[in-house]
Amino acid sequence: MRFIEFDLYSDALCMGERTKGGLLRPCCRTIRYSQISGALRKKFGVGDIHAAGYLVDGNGYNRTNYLIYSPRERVSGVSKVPLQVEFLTNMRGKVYALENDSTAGFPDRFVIYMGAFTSKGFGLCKLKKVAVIEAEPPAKGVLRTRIPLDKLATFNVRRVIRAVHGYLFEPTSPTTGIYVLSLFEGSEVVAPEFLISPVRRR
Amino acid sequence: MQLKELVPELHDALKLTVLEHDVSEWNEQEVETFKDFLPIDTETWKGITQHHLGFKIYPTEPDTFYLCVADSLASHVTRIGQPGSVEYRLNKPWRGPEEEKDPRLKETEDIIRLFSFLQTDPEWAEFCREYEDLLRTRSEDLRQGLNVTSLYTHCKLTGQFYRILRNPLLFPVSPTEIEGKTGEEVKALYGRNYFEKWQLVVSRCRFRFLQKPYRVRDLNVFAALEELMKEVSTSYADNVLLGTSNELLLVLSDEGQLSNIVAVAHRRGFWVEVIKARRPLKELKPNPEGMIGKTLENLYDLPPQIPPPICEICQSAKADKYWPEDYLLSRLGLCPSCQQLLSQNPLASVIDLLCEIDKAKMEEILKEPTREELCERCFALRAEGTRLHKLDTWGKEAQNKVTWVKIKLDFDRLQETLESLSGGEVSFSVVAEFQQDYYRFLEQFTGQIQRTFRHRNVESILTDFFCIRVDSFRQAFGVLQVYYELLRVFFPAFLGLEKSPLRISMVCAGAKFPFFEVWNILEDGPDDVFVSLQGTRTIRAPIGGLELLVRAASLRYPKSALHKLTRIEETSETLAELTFQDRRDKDRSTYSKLASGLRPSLGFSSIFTFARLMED
Repeated sequence: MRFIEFDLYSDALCMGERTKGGLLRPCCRTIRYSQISGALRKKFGVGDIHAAGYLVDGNGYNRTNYLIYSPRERVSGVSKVPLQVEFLTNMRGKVYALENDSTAGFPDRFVIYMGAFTSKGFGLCKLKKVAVIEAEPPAKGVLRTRIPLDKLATFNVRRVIRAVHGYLFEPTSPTTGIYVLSLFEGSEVVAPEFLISPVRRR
Repeated sequence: MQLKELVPELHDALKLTVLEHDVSEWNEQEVETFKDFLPIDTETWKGITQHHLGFKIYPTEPDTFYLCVADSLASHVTRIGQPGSVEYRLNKPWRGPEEEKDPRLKETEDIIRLFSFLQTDPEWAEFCREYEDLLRTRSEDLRQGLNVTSLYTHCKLTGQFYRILRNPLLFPVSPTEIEGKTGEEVKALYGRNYFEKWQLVVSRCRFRFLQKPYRVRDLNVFAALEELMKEVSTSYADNVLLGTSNELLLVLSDEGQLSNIVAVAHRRGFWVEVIKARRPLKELKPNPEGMIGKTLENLYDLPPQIPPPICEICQSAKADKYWPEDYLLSRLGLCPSCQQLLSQNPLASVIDLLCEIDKAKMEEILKEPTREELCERCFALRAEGTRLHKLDTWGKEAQNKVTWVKIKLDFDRLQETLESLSGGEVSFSVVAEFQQDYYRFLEQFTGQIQRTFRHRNVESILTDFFCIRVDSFRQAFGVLQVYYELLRVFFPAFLGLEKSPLRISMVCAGAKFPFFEVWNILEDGPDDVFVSLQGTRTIRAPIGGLELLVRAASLRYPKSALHKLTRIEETSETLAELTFQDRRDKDRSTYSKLASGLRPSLGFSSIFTFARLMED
């Protein structure tokens, strides 16, 4: 089992959490399976793409910013209550896509659109292929991304020691979908080293 | 008259006096003086006289046998090697020795009064009403190194273990195994049960909620957490050894009890982080983390799939309620036409069409009419209305500033600390003794914070979690001052540690700053002292830096210099660092003062945050 490693860059990215604090729309601090796989599938027009990733720490990377946004009623043209939207600037991340017939031919550099407000200049992500790596050997650590439970084997997650659960959206057709139980960042797992960070005492 | 059952907590009642603990060791004169006053007809007297294998009168029936085992489990004495000479005062490793005095009853009439009271066959609570002060000042053992826990703690804990063990199905001991047996035979039975056969589960449960509360009214989840903790602590009162506002250390007779506790949490909408280990009594430790065969689990009760829409607050259930429409329709008694409008449209789109009477009823809701899709549980929590009225009021004014304060107790670090401070294995009784001081510390902290910042400016959310309205963020150091003073009183030994088991985390932010961000910051901070400014800048200090911080905050600094420093840092942290290094010898009123006061324990980033807070 091999994965293609990409560096991901974006000037401004808004990966909205589903949780919404009424007038605040928080931003997700990892690159979840549903989001990156969906964006890649849309870009390349194939369904058999499985990818996940996370943000990279570093000086000045992934700074949180806020955008005040007032969605407008399309028919009446009246603005609704303004919302505060969180987004990341100078975003840096890593993305790992399972190597298969659909992904083996990915170019070394390409761009995708991901997240919200793409019509307002957000979400342009540049991906650069770094390496092709083996998903071995699995080690014990803390998961850095979000993966649906039924996709754990795809990412060679061998064992879940302590789960942190949540739900990810899985499309069932172009207009419908369902929320599936998933493993979230912070779970203790035995998984390929590129997906985990060392266990920190709770 | 029917005899009352044995009251296990009273087994060491003789330790309150200067008499020998073992009645068979009394001299003739003592026997003669007290024989007419002894409560010999009570089961409790059997417990007092027969709870030791070392006594001439050893356990002769199942109840005193259980008591004997419980006494060992609750004892600090059995865990320590060579004790020292007699010392009457308590000497807790985290607090140091108390004033030297022998608190025991010495006068004959006082001892007779004790026996006469025991003749009334009192319950533990009744006994405490008379003798609690004495129980709390008399140590479990008078020898140096063993005088760590009070008799009160030991007796209470013995009662807890006794009731856990007195379960013939799980811990069988028949009268025929004990009655008429020699001391050696009873000792052998004790050994078999204590070292091999009888096993208990030690477990640590941390209760966590799925909700991500952003608004004040969603903080009802903390009230739900408090109710859950109350339910578990009441139903399993004997099993709880140590507790914080969301975590319990439990000793359980079997794993079924643990499953029941987890089921209670699931029923109330919480998930549970569990560490547990089941071992023979001899191998039990007051923290499962250090036990052989421990297992770690996060226990949820979640469906594999949820059809949309999903609840916006907990993200773990189907949303079948609309906020605020369903709330308005079910609670406010609206007129039929408004009801019809709201049942078919989002509030925001029909505000102008509502009648004035109904609009007046929903004045508060109209300030934030955005529709949210919620599940039954989150809807019910929100519909209860906020209990945090002060916080609700502060949140309405954007310019209001607040400081969120969370005191945290790290169980693992506590175990390590107690081991290093007491120089040996930590017993259950030491942890139980610590708990009492910890609760008193929290009580005093709450009171002191309310006095310092005025009651009207302090919202207590949990026993260890507060929100304080402040005029300026520099007042946050007032909280640290209170914390430091109380640590000096209750846990002075912690101040000299590299890492403290007690931690304080604070977030200084506007009252409208989203709560869930605050909660994430408070939960995550691994530092002994952690102060976050608006979630972006932080002060991180070891416990040794607390005194320096408090002292540095009491000094005055020229505001313009602080302002300049923070502005430079906004451009570049490295430039600010260089400026700081350059001016530390030239500008004595600011840089030099900050450097000498804080630099030994704080990084530059923390010093810059300190400057920002002081500038406010």
